[in-house]
Amino acid sequence: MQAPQARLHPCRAGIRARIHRLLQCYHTAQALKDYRLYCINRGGKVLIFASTTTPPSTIHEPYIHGIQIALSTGERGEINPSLGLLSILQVEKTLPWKHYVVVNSQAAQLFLYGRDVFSSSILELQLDTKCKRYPMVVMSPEKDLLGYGKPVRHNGELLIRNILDAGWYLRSGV
Amino acid sequence: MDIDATPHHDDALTLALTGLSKAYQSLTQNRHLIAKANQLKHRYQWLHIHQALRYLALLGDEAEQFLQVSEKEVMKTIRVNTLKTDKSTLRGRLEKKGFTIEQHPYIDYGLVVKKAPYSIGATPEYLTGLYTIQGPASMLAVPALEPLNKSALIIDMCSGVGVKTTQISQHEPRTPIIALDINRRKLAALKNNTSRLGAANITAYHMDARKLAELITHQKASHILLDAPCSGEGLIPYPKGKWPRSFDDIISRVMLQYQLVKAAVEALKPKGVLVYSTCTISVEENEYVLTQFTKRGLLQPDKPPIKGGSDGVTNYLSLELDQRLRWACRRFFPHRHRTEGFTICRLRKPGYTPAEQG
Repeated sequence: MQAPQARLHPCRAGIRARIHRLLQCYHTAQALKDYRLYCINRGGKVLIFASTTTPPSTIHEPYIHGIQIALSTGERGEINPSLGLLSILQVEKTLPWKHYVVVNSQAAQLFLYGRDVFSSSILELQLDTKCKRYPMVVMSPEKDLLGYGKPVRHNGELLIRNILDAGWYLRSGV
Repeated sequence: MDIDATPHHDDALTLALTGLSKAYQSLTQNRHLIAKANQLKHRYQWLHIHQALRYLALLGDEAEQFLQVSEKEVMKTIRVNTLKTDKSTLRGRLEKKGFTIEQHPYIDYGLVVKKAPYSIGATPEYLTGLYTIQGPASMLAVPALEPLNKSALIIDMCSGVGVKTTQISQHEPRTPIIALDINRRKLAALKNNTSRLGAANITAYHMDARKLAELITHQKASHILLDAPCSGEGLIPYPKGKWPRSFDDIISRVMLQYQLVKAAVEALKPKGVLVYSTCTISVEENEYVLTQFTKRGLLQPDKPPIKGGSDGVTNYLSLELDQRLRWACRRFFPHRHRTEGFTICRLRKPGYTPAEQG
């Protein structure tokens, strides 16, 4: 098996196929049609970027190229979507049709503070059991894409566990 | 400060700094001005006597008005992220939440936040990238680059956390933008901002922008934004802006700015556009630095397509200043324009190619 490249490079077919499967789960595969995928290995993970341009021809390695849309981790290269993917979906005005949950305004605000969502706050739920390995997209009533969550059973009730929310941009400390 | 020991030894720079030092020396011999400066310093304890002299030389009786402006008097503004939403939709959403919003006086996609029931930086709209917080004058640097086009290569030489870089992306979302910054922590924040705002055409490098020529060896830029590190005197209305700046502080900034402009000139294609901006009102760091290039024909002043502000300053101390910078620069003052202090200048590299030069 070829060693993962530390330099920025076009993502290989395997990663592109896994990203495509992820997007299909949200029914948003067309959203990235004008973007190219680039990968870079950092700290044992593969960072996957989507960009509308090709990287400039330079001798220096870029810090970023485009928007990070996912991470590939572990031996099997599991794909973990990033907040940047949601940003691109908003730019492309492509909302998920599947595998998403819409929460009420109060829950949306709490979700952005890193909290989970109780079933009483759910306005709409479209779960695709074939996409269990991927988190659901969490949306506000205004259809802002707030982050990702996973449905779990907690004390007999449905709970959307906060996996990653846009409040991270403030909490990240940078 | 030992001017002869400047790094990257450059005769033009040495001459410029010598001229500056002489001008400062004359200033310290002006007894009338010194008396007034001491009065100012007595009222504003944090002020350096050198600063007081310079502000009196630049602004005269307005100097105190400039120093008196508080943070509350400067417009608080946000930039609508037109990649994701439009101005009226965003305004409607914020007003529904109790914010009082007005139109920015100088730029279409800017909004002024008059009243905020809670922090404007903590709304879902901010976190999901529908807008970003940006100073009212700072927002005008990117429009000064226009017209941009799809065949451009645009470079943001000192991108910091990417506020202006992402603004360029709003203007041209499919044109390559190169962003540089010497500070890795700021690049981490730039990565977050490009993600939050959906700016997908930015390639960022961790490097010293003075070495730009090493980075782009096969092509030249059509547009460069150089938002240069500066003394930050435009931020004096804010608590973080109130610190003393000596003559040496200004001279050291001028040295760096000169080197950055020199790198920009090398990286620009013929007829390429350079927008030079700083968050300072200091003539030394703006018109004086740029005069070192315009007087040698390395850059030509160009009129920036932006509204508002005052003309560039071309008469200050005894410094040699290119008179054309009067219309090539726009200056914003807290006490005149209710913005942070800011200077934006537009220039072009001459249009002849090396072959034409002969």
